[in-house]
Amino acid sequence: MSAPDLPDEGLMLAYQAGDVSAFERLHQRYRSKLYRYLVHQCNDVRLAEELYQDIWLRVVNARADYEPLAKFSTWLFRIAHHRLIDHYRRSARDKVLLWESAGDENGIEDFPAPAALTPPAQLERLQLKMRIAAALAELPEPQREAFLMAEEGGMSLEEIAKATATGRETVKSRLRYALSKLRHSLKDLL
Amino acid sequence: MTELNKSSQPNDSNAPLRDAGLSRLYRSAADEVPPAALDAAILQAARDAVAPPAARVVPWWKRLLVPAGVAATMLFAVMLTLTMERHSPDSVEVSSQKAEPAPAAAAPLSPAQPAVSKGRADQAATARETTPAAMPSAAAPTEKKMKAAPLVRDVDLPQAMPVAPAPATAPVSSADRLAEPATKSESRSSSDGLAAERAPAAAAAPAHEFAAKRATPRAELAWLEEIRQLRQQGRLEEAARRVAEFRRAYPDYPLPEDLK
Repeated sequence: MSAPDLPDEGLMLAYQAGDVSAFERLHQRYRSKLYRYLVHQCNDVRLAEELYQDIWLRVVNARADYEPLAKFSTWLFRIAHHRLIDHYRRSARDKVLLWESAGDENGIEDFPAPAALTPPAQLERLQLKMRIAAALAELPEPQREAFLMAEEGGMSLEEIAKATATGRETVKSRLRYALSKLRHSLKDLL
Repeated sequence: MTELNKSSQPNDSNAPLRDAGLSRLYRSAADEVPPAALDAAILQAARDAVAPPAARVVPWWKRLLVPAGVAATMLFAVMLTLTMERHSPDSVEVSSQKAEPAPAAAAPLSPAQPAVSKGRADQAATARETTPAAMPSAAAPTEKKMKAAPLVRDVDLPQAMPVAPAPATAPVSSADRLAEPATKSESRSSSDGLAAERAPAAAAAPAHEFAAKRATPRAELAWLEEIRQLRQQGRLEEAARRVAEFRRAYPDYPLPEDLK
């Protein structure tokens, strides 16, 4: 089986054996997904780029110890999750507390009414991006993370639970609330 | 992508965990991509991580560091060993023992009376054994004086030589030992040359015997007994000489009245 046909785990094992093209293929599959995850999590492009490079270098350095015990996406986003936590611990301790103490029961009544729409069509797309980014930024970090892992990583509840070191029901609750709030914030666009 | 749940109920509590419309909306705006330079750096790092290490060119002088170090260490060890052998305690003792006969030779008129102190019986025995070189010059005039005398002490000495090889043994019966030379002295009194030849070695024999006796716990008593025997035999000069030696060896030992 050639490198492009291998699943993510096979490509990583091939790279572990010394096949650089396998890593290039794997990188191509997840580069945008991981980048967007970091952009929406950090809400800071420069910080997202810094973390993005750091996470991929960690993947390279961990190739010798890699074992396909879980999906590659789960492994990758687990690294990203821990890297974010480390960043929050170093930069803003209160943000870590906010993350750790974020309630999973925040209902729609806790959020303000959605912003009014902007008429110009040529700005529609830009506004769409901004609206989505704003809606995501309004979410508590754990809920936003669960949504992005599901959307960008294509991960199941169990896989998100493994990546974030939480339980399946906790992830389910977070994802439910995230969807509910996003629907409310973007209901005029849906 | 795995479907998390499927439900058509609009109720939030039963809402699907995946919202198709929301996903579609999100995907339509999700066009952020990382910078190309950033990806290039990551891919280069991935290549470098699995590339074989390039052979390093080691300078010639660095290649010689280990052999030079080993050679220097071995040279140091050899020099240290040689130095220690030159200055070892054994070599010092040998040189000091060789120097000891000189003081003994400096007293030519007392060939059998080296300066021996208490507890140095072995050194005295060694000195006496090495003093034969000085014996001829000293023994000759003394021997000449004694030639005419009926009691030729130096002539008697050769007969005591058989006893000399056992220096540290128990005190030999003085009566037996002294009796032997006395009987043989008469047959040898006429052979002057023979006496002269045997004088040096013979002079060393009784000294060696007395040194051996000093090494034994009861040496003082045996020594005094021998002096008494000499007096009884009329060998007064020799007895006096032995008393003097005893005093030097045991200055604090009280002499019996009959030997004073």
